[in-house]
Parts: sequence; structure tokens; C-alpha cells
Amino acid sequence: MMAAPRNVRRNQLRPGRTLILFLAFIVALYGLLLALDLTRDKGEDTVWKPHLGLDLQGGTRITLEASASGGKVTSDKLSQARDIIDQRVNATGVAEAEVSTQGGDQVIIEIPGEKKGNIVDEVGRTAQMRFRMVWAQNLTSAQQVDDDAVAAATKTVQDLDWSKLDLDQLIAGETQGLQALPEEYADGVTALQTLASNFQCSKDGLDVDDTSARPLVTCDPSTGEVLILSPTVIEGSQIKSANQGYDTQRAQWIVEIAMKKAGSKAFDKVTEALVTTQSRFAIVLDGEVLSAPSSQAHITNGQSTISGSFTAATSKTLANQLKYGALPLTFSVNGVSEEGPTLAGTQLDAGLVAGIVGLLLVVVYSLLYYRGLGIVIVGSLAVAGAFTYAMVLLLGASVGFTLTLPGIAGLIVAIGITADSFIVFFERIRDEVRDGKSLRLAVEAGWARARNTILAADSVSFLAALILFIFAIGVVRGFAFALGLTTLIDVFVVFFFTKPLVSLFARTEFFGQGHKLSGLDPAHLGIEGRKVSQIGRSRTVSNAGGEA
Amino acid sequence: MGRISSFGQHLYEGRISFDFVGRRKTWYAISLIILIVSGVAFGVRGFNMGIEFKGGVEFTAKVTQADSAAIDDLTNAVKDAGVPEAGDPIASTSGSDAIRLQTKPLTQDQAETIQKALTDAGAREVSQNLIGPSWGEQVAKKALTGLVVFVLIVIVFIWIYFREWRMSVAAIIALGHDLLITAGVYAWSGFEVTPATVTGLLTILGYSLYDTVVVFDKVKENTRHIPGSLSRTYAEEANLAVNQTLVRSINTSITALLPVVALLIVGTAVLGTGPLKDLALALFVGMAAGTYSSIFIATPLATQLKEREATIRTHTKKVLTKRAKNESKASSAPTQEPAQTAPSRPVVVSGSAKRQQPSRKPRSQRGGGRPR
Repeated sequence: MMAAPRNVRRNQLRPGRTLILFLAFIVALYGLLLALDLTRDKGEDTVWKPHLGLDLQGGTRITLEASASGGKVTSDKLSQARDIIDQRVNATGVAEAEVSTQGGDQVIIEIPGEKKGNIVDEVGRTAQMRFRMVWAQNLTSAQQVDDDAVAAATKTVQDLDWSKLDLDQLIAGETQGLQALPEEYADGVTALQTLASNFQCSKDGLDVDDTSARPLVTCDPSTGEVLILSPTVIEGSQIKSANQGYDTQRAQWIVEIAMKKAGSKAFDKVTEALVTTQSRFAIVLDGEVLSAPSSQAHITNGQSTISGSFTAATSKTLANQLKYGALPLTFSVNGVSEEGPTLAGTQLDAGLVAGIVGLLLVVVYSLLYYRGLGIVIVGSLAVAGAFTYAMVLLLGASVGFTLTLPGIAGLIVAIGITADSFIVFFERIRDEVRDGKSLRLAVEAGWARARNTILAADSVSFLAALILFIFAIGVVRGFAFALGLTTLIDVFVVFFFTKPLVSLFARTEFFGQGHKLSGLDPAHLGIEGRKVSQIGRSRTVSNAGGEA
Repeated sequence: MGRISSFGQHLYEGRISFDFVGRRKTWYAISLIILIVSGVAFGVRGFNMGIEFKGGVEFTAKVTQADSAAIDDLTNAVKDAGVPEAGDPIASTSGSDAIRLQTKPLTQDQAETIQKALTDAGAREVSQNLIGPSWGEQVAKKALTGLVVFVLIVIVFIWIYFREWRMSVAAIIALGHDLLITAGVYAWSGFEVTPATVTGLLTILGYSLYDTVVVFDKVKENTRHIPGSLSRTYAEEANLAVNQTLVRSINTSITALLPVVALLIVGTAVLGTGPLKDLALALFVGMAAGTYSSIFIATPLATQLKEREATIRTHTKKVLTKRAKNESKASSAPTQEPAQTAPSRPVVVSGSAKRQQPSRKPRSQRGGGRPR
């Protein structure tokens, strides 16, 4: 009996500190936002305004048209392209861009806010990646051949059936020279050399016919080197995963790829054949040589890295494109326009008014029911609100988190649900007082039990959010993100704000002695014959069914 | 308010008690009827799927000045054109001199009627285009995969946390119950199913389980000393737990539903259309069903499953025998009640040590400590 009050006093030294630290943390969040706002570039949006979704703010609408050169446009291919573009554009999962098909040959991308960067390049690019052998290298495009000769050479290459060559022969074409190819390809080889000598390398897009089964004459736009490449040895569809990486030794951004089984096998063979002479193979993206590294090691596990002149942004874009696969069609931009919001301003205003009215009702109810303790609920909700708003702004500035009207409604509702944690806690305190504990003891004992319940219940909510975020695409991810965020904030607020605040309040005379308006007076709790600051008969204390 | 508080006190002590667990057949029957009504709605009325799911027709109308007044004019023109399928178009400005309106799929004639209505309302030049869904099959498929994985993980999570697979089963059944009822209300009301609706349904997913876990946690706490203690049966302890968390359940539903009701009223009465309405209806029905099912479905179901266990059956028998003995010993005592799942709280003290120690399982079966 004597030990208990001393313990309580020691415990109660902490709540004030926790409370101040937590509030300082929230202030620091806003400080961080202020710092971000002060250091932003002039052209960027202010960080103080949340990014709003298509429905509230409008955005940029990009119409992509499938061009005929990319093969026959079927509705299957188009909807497949829509899905891939959707995944690319919503890769971060929180920007809430919309992608749909229009007519028989168009894909429409709607992105919230103003058009930023080269979004068309990022999402509309075919991103067909292929691995090819380097049959001839270091060619310079010097002499001019007349158009007829080029056309004839092109036809010769096209008419040959290159697909008869197996992987060993393709490799031999590099390691033993082109004369090692079967005789019937001699004309083709000459034609390729003609084409190569006439090839114009340019940095703004190449006009090449990148067909998988045929050799390819192309160049590396960053160096201007023209190469004759073999038919494809590994297809882009063999890429299992792609991630952005950083090569610390050479201090450059890279893209790491892992291949599927068939691709790994072919890659094993290619690197084995090339490693002795440190010969090169080429990684070709949409007809351009992305990089043509020499084989430094015999790679058996299908892991490869692509280096080139990447920046952090371009390596991420490429990894993103490779991950979701190549588009089955080639697209060109048909139109870009600024779109207004789909919801009139009245919708947003009405929604906000409804939200505020709803929250006020919650406040009134908690004050009526919990009286003085209602202040804790209101305070906690206010802190949760400030915390949530700061996170929305921060995530908007960092990962482009976007708020739509359903999103805002979801956040308002989530804050309402947050109130449940406080209610669970308060009811536990009351139960403990009813069991005969003094209020100060009841706060600690009630908390020990409420804590487990709150953690278990919030874990389920968080699981829901996490799994939805991993599996869903598009708008659902944005929602899942918001749900996970509010759940975490709930836990933070109840642990570092509500609990310490109640502990502090329990020390005051108003709450600790059970003032009539505190919500903790004996009549309100329904206990008889003692003050809440006193300990009741022990029979009920032992009757609660074990410790928490 | 004071009355509610002492009501809470009485519930806690078991002086007032509602028989949630014992009268489970009644609750099951009620839910079954509601579920059948919902099921009929799927067949009879189906869902009113939005443009985002089915695609539709897009009209681009050139106007002199694209502002919200022009949007209102054209939207009203579409509404009054006498084509019910085109009601509630999604409208937005496009650049400074065009307005884009999206409607559900229309026939050739209907599209022409709309086009004419738009021209009459002051649009200079109207073009139309078919648009595909932005929420295609793939989105649905992915969402479904996510849902299945989620359910599996939740089953495992609840199983581990409560050390009781029966609670997982009951929680998931309650979840399905809530989702089906919400879907049924959607079908009957004819409210449009939009991405906002899906968002609402997903919120319910989390909320329904959250609420169930809170109630189950109390059940777990109350039944911890079984089969060591013979003062109450498992069903009685479970029922007491529901009663003890009843005030919490009521308060939580009120605080959670108040903002939703505000959104619903504003969404339907003031605005009439738009995503607010869709979201609020899903949330309102789902959250109400979620609270109901935690109390009336999940706990009775978990108890029913648990009672099939041999140890619990033996324990229940022992408790009842002991109670009958006590009754015959002190047949004149007015405090004793007949055996049911809602007894008054017995004043019997059996001592905490005596109650807790035998209930502890051998160390090998207890696993790694208490869940935190």
C-alpha cells in the first residue's frame, strides 16, 4: 500500500515531459514545412496548400494516340496499354491520376495540377527494352549513300529470315566475326554495313525500325557511336523486376534488373562467351542504345545493372517503365489541355461545412457526456487534426500526395474514429474506479489495459491500409495511404498526448478530487460511499479477472 | 447524461444485463432476413455502376466563356433533355472556351438528343466521343486479390492475438455481413456506385474489424480464468464483456456517425449529386452494421463455436452443477438467479490467486509471453 503512491508520483513526473516533447514535435513539423517553403524554387507551389485532386482543382489532360506504325491497334492492346500507363503514372500511388481509353485508339491521362516535367516521356514511352549482341562497333557515320542504295539494303535485310540463327550463332557473329555467320547471310551483312555507314545519329529521337527478330543498325545518342547489333538475344518481357540503384564506386545512378528463368539462361551464355575477350553486348531501349557495356564477369543469376548517363530522376523513370512492362502500342501526343475541376466550388464548401458541423457535434456530445474529460477529447482531436494536416502538406511536398473530395471526407471520418481510442481509454478508467481504485491509480491501470486494446484494433486498421496499398492501383492506393496515415497518427496522439494529458489532469484538484463538472464525480461514475480520490473496498479490485 | 453513466456502472457490475449471447438465434434470424433482402436486391435491382466503371460518352461543347455558370447551364440542359441515362453528368471546364460533359453509355438517338439540347443551351459546337472505363477489370481484379490477401492475413492476425481461430472466423463472418448489407442498401437505393463508394466500402472493412477486435479483447480478458474459476460459464463471461463494452460501443458509434450523418444530409439534401453522397451512404450503413455485428453476430458466434470445445462444455456443466448445489444449500437466499447467460454479478469471492493460477497453461503451450 505504501509503495503504490510513490510509484504513481514517479510515473507522473513523466507525463509533462512527454506532452511537451510531443507538442514540440508537432511544432517542429510545421517548422520543417516553413523551412521547405523558404527554400523552395520560385516556380514551385507553396507548401502551405495541400495538393488537390482532379475533382477539386482540375489538372492536365493529355491525349495519347496509338500510331499505326506500332502494329494493328486492337481494343485489347489499347486497354492493356491503359493498364500499363495507369501503373506507371500512379507508381508512387498517391497522386491520383486517372487514365482511360477514348474512341478506338486513344488513351487519356488526367493528372492533377499543372503539367510538370516531361510526363509524356515518362508514361507514354513504349519502353521496349532488348538485349542484343554487338556485331560491329565504333562505326562513324561519314559517307553519304544515295537513297536508292539505302532502300535496297533495307530490303535485303528485311527479306532475310534472321530468326533461323540460334543463340550460339548470334554469339559467334560477335566473337568470331560476321564472316562466321552462315553463307546465305553474306548479302545481309554487306547491306547492314551500308546502312551503318549512312546512319545519322541524333540526340532527339532516332528513326529506326526496332524489330526483335532482325539485326539493328543504331547508335548511342550520348556518344554518337554507331553499332550493328544482332537480332534480340533477350527480350524485355524477360525482365522480372527493375529498380533504381546507386553505384557507390563509380558514383553514378544505375538501374538494377533481374531476369526471369529463360532470360537468365541466355544471359548466362552470353556473358560466358564474352567475358574472356571482355567483348560488349548492347541494351537497346526503343531502338536507341542505352548502354553497351563490356562483359566483366560471367553472370549466372540473371542480375544485371544498366549504367548510362542517368540522373536520379531518369534512372527512376526507366526502372518504373521496365517494371510495368513495355506498351504493346506506340503512342504519340495528340493534345494537351488544362482541365477545370469536375466539382463546382459549392461541393467543396458544402463538404467542408458538413465536416465542420459533424465534428462540432462530436465535440458537443463529448462535452455533454464526459464533461471535463471532454476537454481531453477535443484537445486530442485538435492535435490529431494539426498532425494530420502537417503530414498531408509534408507528403504533398515530398511524394505528391493529393487530396480528393472523398479523401477529405475520409480524413474527417477517420478523425471521428480516432475518438474511439479516447473513449476506450476513458471507459477503462471508469471501470477501474468502479472496481475500487483511486482515480490516480485507475488512470494508470486503465491505460495499461486500454493500450493493448487500442494497439490490437489499430493494427487491424493499419493492416487493411497496408495490404490495400500494396495490392491496389490507382485511386484506391491514395485512399489506403490516407487510412494508414490516420491510423498511425491515432496511435501517436493517444500514446503521447491523450495519456499524459489525462495523467496530468488526474493530479489537479478539479479532476483528481472528482469535481462535479469533471466527469469523474462519484455520482457521474455511479459509485457510492467514497470519493474518487480514495481507494474502495478490495473485493472488487480482485474481481476484474486478472491483470492486463 | 448522468443516467447513462450510472447505466454504464450497472452494466459493468452486471446489475443490468442484456442477453446478447443467449438470444443469438433471434439476432441471427434478424440478420438473415436483412441479408436475404440485400441478396434479393442484387438480383432484382442490380447496381447502378458509374461512368468510371462502365465508360460512357463524352461531349465537348465549345462555349464563349467556360465558367461555372456555363457548366450549370449545360448540366441542367442535359438533365432536362429527357434522357434518364444521361442524368448527373460529370462536368468540367476544358481550357477557357470548352466544357466537357461525361455521361453513361447512350444509344445513337439519345446521344443526338443530348447534343441538340447542348446546342440549344448555347453551346456553339459539340463533339462526342466514346470513353472507356478508368476503373477497368484490372483495377477490380487487383482490388479483389488485395481483399483476399487481407482477409487471410486478418484471420491469422486475430488467431495469433487472441490465440483463438474461432474468433477469426466470427470476425470475418461479421465483416462479410456488414459488407453485404451495405451493398444491399446500395442496390435498393439506386445510388450510383462510384470510386467514392468503393472508398467507403474499404473504410468499413477496417472499421468493422476494428470494432470487433475491441469487443473481443474484453471477451478474452473476462474468459482468461476459465476453466479455473467456476463462478461463470464461458457464455456468461462473453455476454458480460459485451455489456461492459456497451457504453463504449454506443459512444463510439455516435462520435463516428455524427460527421457521417452531416455529410450524408448535406450530400443528399443540399447537393443532391456527387461523390459526398455516395461515400456518406456507404459509410453510414457500413459503420452502423459494423457496430451491430460486433455485438449481435460476432460475439455470439465466437461463443457458440467455443462452446463446442470439450473443455468448455465440461466447464459449463461444472459451473451449472455448482450453482445448483449452492442454490439448494441456500434456497432461501433471494440473490441467486436461475442459470442463464446474464446473471447478476455474484458477490462470491474466490480469491484472485485461486482463480488465476489454475487457468495458466503449461509454459510449453503458452507461446512467447503476452501479446502486447
